[in-house]
Amino acid sequence: MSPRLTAARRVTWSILLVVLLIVLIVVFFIPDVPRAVPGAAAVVLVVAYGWGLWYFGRRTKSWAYAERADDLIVIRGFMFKRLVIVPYGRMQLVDLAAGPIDRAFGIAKLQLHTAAATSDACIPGLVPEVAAALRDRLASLGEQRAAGL
Amino acid sequence: MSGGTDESEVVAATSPQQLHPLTPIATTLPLIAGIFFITLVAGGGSAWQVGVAGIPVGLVVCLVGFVVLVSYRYLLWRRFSYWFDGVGDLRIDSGVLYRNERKVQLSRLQAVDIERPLFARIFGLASLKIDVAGVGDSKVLLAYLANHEAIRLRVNLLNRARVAESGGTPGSGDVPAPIAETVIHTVAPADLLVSLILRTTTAGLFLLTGLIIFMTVTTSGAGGLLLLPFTGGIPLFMVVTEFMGLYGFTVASAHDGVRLRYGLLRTQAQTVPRGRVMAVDVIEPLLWRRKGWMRVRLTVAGVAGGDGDQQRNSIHSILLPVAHQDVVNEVLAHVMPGVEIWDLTLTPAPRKTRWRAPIQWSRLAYGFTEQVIVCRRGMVTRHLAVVPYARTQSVSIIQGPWQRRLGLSTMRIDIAPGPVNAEVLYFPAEQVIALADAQVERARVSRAGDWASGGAPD
Repeated sequence: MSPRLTAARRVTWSILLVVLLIVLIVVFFIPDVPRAVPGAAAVVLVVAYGWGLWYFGRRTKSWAYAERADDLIVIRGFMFKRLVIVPYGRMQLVDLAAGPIDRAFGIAKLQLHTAAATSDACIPGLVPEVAAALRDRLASLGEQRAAGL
Repeated sequence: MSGGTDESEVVAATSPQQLHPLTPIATTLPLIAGIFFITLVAGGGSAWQVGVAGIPVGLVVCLVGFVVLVSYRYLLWRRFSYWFDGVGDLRIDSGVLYRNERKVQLSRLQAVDIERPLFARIFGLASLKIDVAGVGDSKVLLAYLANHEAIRLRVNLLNRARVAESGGTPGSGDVPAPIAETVIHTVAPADLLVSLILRTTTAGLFLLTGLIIFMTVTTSGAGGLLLLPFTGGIPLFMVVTEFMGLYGFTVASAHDGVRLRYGLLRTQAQTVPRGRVMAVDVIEPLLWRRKGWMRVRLTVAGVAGGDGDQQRNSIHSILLPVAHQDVVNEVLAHVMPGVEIWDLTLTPAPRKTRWRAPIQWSRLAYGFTEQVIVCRRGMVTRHLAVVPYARTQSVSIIQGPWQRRLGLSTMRIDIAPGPVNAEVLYFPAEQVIALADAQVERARVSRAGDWASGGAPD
């Protein structure tokens, strides 16, 4: 995975922090609210922010995928680890998506769909060219080996 | 059923036909009955103010409503026609203001079901639900037809579908065999009722209700009575709705799979096509075991009855509401031929699993046959999930922090959405990895086998 994924996630996380901090500052200047309330909230917020920075770093590192002869393997998660094996013949749809922050960082997310709602296989943080090439490769493999239901 | 179907008759074009002339009345009556009931209640309530005059007014409203609706429905009926065009399609023209012409490709026919709602049954009518493979609006409803006509048309549709599927052209001599159904099993109403009461949640709630009543009587504190509508009413409601829904449950074998019929007020018929069964789950609640009863639910791809969660709890996913093991075997033999699930040697979970699943650990197990993987779980309510290898969509391994501490992990076989969960819970991590690899390989081989028999290219 591209380290840019970590950066992108941390930026999203920071934006959330800034928004919440602004809210806290506003609350701080409301006369009837005891000053300790937004103060305590700010401490919690900062701790959560630090944890988030660490968490996104770890989570990005945990992501991995491998193309095998007949299937694709995607691994993710470090607290709750998941490994999913998707046979090429079962892929019904391969989506490529990128939100505004993802685009700014030049990364994209590949999402695989099978007929099962539970096969949760996605690969975030790919460089767009790699992602597009992978999508085309997977789509053509999927077509070659399509097996219906 | 008209005997002696001639080959040309099977595929020939027909002239446009209309639905049964009583259709406008049969479709309007249930609505009017509803309106009448409402006016009665409303009229009854206000009769004190309005006087007796209120009731005739209600009747007049109903009568006018009836005439208007029936006239509209009459127009719809006039403009509705269906026929076979002789090249393998069923054609339907309908609509008063906007004309709608539909072409149903019989080569893609999935199921034809006969439904008989209460009001239709009074007139001896039935509706025909035609299900065609495809995305979106792929269902066609012919409502209503005379009973015998519905049965005849269904056979006709299935015969034509078979000719269209085999690529037969009109007069090519491909005469389909007559369609016969043999009843495998009918669930006795008494068994159904008792089994519904004995389900774990229902029985538990009833027990709680009894306890609350007992406490109220002995302590004369009436506060607990407020809970009665929930503890007593909800299970009662569940039992009554399921009993009416599943009343007279009959499983029959037909040429295209298994046909299910059920319902007290609304008779439903459903076809479970052979080969479209993704997975089955054999369920044994605690209190059923003395009787040797089990329930079988199934996941079928693209079956009528909603999607995902809706289907999960719907009665449309029930293959057998309650039956003994020999009946279960017989029915399973029809939807998954050649699969024997009881005499398997299962691999049980190791002792350390009890640290993750202290109650059900000794029940956790998996096993294989030539075509399916079997996953067993559940202590209070026993589950036995059976999934053919070829129906595997993907294979997942999941491991939470506590499982990792114990060196365990879980394999899930991802299948089409439905009520069946196929999970091999809490086995040693290395074993699960090998298992997942084997499962993927088996799925690949068995899909290849499917192609070989289906003639599709690799």
